[in-house]
Order: sequence, then structure tokens, then C-alpha cells
Amino acid sequence: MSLALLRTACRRTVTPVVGNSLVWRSIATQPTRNLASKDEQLESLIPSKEDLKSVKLSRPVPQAVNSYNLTISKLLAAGLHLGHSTSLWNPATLPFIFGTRAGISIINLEHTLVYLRRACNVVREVAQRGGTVLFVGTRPEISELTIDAARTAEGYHVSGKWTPGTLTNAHQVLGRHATPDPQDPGRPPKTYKPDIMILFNPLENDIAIAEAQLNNIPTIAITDSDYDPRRVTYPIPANDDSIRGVELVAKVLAASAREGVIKRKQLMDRKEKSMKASRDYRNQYEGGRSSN
Amino acid sequence: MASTLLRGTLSAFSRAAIVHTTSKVNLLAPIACRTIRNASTYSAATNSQEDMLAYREKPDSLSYFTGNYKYNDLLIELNAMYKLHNKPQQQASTAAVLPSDLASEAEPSNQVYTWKLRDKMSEFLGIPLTTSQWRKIVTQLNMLASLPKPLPVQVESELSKYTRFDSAQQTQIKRKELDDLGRSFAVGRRKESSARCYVVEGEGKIMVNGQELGAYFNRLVDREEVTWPFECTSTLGKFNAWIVVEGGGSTGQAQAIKLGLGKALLVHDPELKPTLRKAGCVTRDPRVVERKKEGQKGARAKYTWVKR
Repeated sequence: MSLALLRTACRRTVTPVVGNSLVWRSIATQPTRNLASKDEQLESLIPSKEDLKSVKLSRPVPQAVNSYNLTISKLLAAGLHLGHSTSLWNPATLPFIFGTRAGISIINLEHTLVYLRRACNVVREVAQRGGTVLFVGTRPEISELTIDAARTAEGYHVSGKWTPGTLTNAHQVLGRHATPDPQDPGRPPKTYKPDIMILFNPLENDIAIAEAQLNNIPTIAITDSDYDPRRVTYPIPANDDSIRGVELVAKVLAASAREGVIKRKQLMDRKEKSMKASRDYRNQYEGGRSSN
Repeated sequence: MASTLLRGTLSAFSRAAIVHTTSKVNLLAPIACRTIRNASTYSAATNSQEDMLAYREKPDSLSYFTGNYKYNDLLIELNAMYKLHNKPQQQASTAAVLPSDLASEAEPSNQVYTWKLRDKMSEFLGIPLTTSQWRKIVTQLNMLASLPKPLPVQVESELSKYTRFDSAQQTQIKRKELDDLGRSFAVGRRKESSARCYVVEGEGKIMVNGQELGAYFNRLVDREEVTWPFECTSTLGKFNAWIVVEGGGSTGQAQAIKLGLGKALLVHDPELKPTLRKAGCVTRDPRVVERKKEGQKGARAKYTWVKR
């Protein structure tokens, strides 16, 4: 007996049961037959192979989180609303605090959502213009996710210790391990600076932020209720202690950076194609004139 | 309300240049600027797009800004390899294990990895390493070595690069064996004496320099020293010994023979080692005559001290 036929013939609501509802429904809606042996009765309850094959499990596939499908419920699930103790708060975070409960400040996730999306836009645009994105996460618990974020975004990471002088003394700190120019060994090697810095624990990286300010590099940081958000260019008021929360923020930012990189590649390809087309056009139509 | 708050906070917090952000991005059209497009600004717009797509030189390594990128990249690589090969443990455990597999597995799993020391490893990697950095690398290598055996080919080839060179030679310790006549040979030394001892299974005869034990050693103490290795292991009547001893005096020769016989006995039966060690037949006595020093009467004795 086909499943569709069963459904139309015995259309009645069945109480929700464990397992696949369609298979159970087919069993429940079969008319009871007066069979002689118990074995045959039991066998009639087992759904046929064809019925099992046609049924598909409707389990929702988890979607990757990016800046377009962020919701407050996701931020809440990651624990980004839990601030620090009220006695340790920084009064500059007042606009972002929803209230206090159980002795801790609760961060308003409406603001978190807005600021996080703004930070994603910034990172996307920077990456689209070929900018260097640097992820800084110096705590050992978040070092792995910093490296993963950097790899996804085709950026760079500092996951151990931020060496003081990375930007202000780049010649010594970064140039030390650079390979010297084969043609001119005496010349100091070229050093690079990031175009945007993303920090996951700004409280422990004062030096990094100070160096960024000195070099006019914009900074994005997860600012908790005990950190002054005015110290960074694009603060994200959220909890910096929960690893799940930091992971969510890192993944979202890295995904946006990756989008920017992909868009840049697309634009470059399009530009190359248009240049090639115009070159072919010129060779075809104007090449003859130059020979005359 | 949220939007007014946002505007307020934006003005308060904007200090550095704010990147021009767009809410919707149309993939098909070029980047939409909020400025009004005029003929005069058209060239500026295209120039800005060209600047945007201009080639920008970037550093190669992911860990460039750590300051020690080669070291950090190495740690990341080893960690990634470990994570890659650490997963399929559940699949292996469900497979049925046959007794034939167990027998073959028991043999080669003794491989102990000795890693290169700090200086050799930094030489190999081309990175100057501190002790703590070397320790972190070794921790990662140990994690890889602790993966379920047999190790994947990729992992083994990676680990073999970091193993110490002389460890391969050390594992092949030569075991002494009996010769074709069933004799074991050992040398014992004490002071200036050296004794070459041949021990073979027999009735308990001992010959020293071609003479009977009683004839060669006049003192009972020396004779007892010679037979001590057999006596303490209760193998008195089981072995014959042929000994050639040269140098030194009677006591030195007797004690040299004691050591030689102990070592020769170990070749026959290695399980006697703890017994012989406790009895003092395994350690070479390092005491030798101390040299005389100038300005003194002997090695330690000084000349008579004179007050004036």
C-alpha cells in the first residue's frame, strides 16, 4: 500500500509520537485486520521497505552563522549578554547596560547586534579593498579559534603574546626573522602593518591598542562591562569571558572578511575580462589603422 | 529608540576615520557611493575603483605579526596534523580484533622516540629556540607519537625528522653469547691486575694460569674471593673456569678474577645479575694507587711541618 494512499484514505490527526511521524502514522492508520495468528498481526504492524525508503527525515540542517542571519536569540544562547560584576563596571559602558541581575551587569543585546553588524560591514569593506585583517586573541582558551578565524578570513593572527613594539618597532620585532633581500643584503627588510585589528580580549592588550592608535589603525574589540568602549574605534559590547560567545563573534567577523575577499576576487576577474575584451576590440578594429 | 541611541553613541565614539559602509551591496553593480554622480566626478569614481583593486603587497605567513612566524607556523602545523589524525578512533575500536592481529601487534610497539635536543633542533629548523619554545615543540611531537599505532605514514615521516641521530645506534646493544664450545669469556680488572676468564658448564674445576686454585693462591682469603661468584649463586659444582691473570699482586689478581667470573657467569645466566650485584661481583672497583704530588711526601702525606 502506498503511503500517499494511506494518508488520503485515513486522514485523521494522530498524537505526536516518538521517531518519524510519517512512518508511525502509516502504522496507526492501517485498518485492523482479523488475522488468525498473532505473528501475522505483528507482521502487519511493521512498515514495508518501500514505505521506509520513501520517507525522508526532516531534521533541520544547522546554518552557518554570518552577519545576515544574526539574531538576538543566538547571541543570548552564546552567553554574550553576561557582563562582569557590578562593582567592577566601567561607567562609560552605561549606554550598553540593560540592567543588573545576580550582581552582574547585563549587556543589552540590541546594541550588541547593531554594533556587531557594523563591525562586520567594516571588516568586509576593508577586506574588499585588499586590507590586512589582524585577529588578536591572546588567552590560551581562545588561541585556537583566533587562528581558525584568521585562516578563514585570509588574514593574520596573534594568538600567543602580543610582542610590544610589533607596530612601533617593526624593524626590530618583525624584521628580525625576515629573509634579507638577495640583491641588497645590507638594506633593512620591508615590514608590514595591518589595516584593521580585531581584539578578543582588549583588557589584556593595552599595548596593542596603544600601538594601533599611534599608527592610525582602526580597532574592533569585544568590550565587556568593565572596559571603556571609547578606547577602540568599533567596540562590540558583549561578554568576553564565554568561549562560545567569542567563537560566535570570531566566526561572524571572519565570515564577513571572507565575503569581502571573495568580492574583491570577483571584481578583479571582471576588471580583467573587461580589459581583455577592450584590448581584443582595439586589436581587431584599430590595429589595421596603425599599419596604414 | 535603538537607532537614536546608536546615532548618539556613534558621534561620541567616532575618533578615527570611519570607513564608508553600505547597508545593501548589489553584487552585479559596482560599489554604490552616496555621492551624486556628475560628469566631473565620474573619472574620480573609476579612479577610486581602480585604486581599490590595486595590488597590495602582503606578508606570506599567517603568523607574521607574532614576531616569530616560523616557530608559530610549525606549532600550528603540528597541531593541525594531530587534530586531523586524532578523529577516527571510534571507527577503529568497533572493528573486530583477531588473536592473530594481537600477536603481531605486541612486538613493534616498543618504539620510544628520543627527540633532538634544543641546539640541534634549532639548527635543523633554522629558528633560534629557547628552552620553553623547544619544550612546546616536544610536547606537540609527543602528542603525535601517542596516536594509536600503527602511525599514519604522514605522521611517521614528520616525526622521523625530529628524532635524535644517535638513538638508532643506542638501541642495538650487543648481547654477549657463548662461543661454539659453550664457553663464555669476560675480563675483570682490579688495581694493576687483569684476568681473562673462560667459564663453561662442567664439574667445578678452576684453573688459574695453568695451576690449581690451591696451588696458585696461598692465602685462603684469595681462594674464597675467586670462588665467591659461584658460592653466592649456588653454582659451585656446575661450571669449570679457565683463568689467565697478569699484573698486580695476589689480592688484586684474586679480586680481578672475581669480577671476571661474575661477568662470565652473567653471559650464561643473565637472571643472576641482582644476586651477583648484591654480592659485589659486578661492579669494577675503581680504586687505584693515587699519584704522588710535588711538595708532598706522598699522595696525601705532607712533609713535617716546621714552625719556623
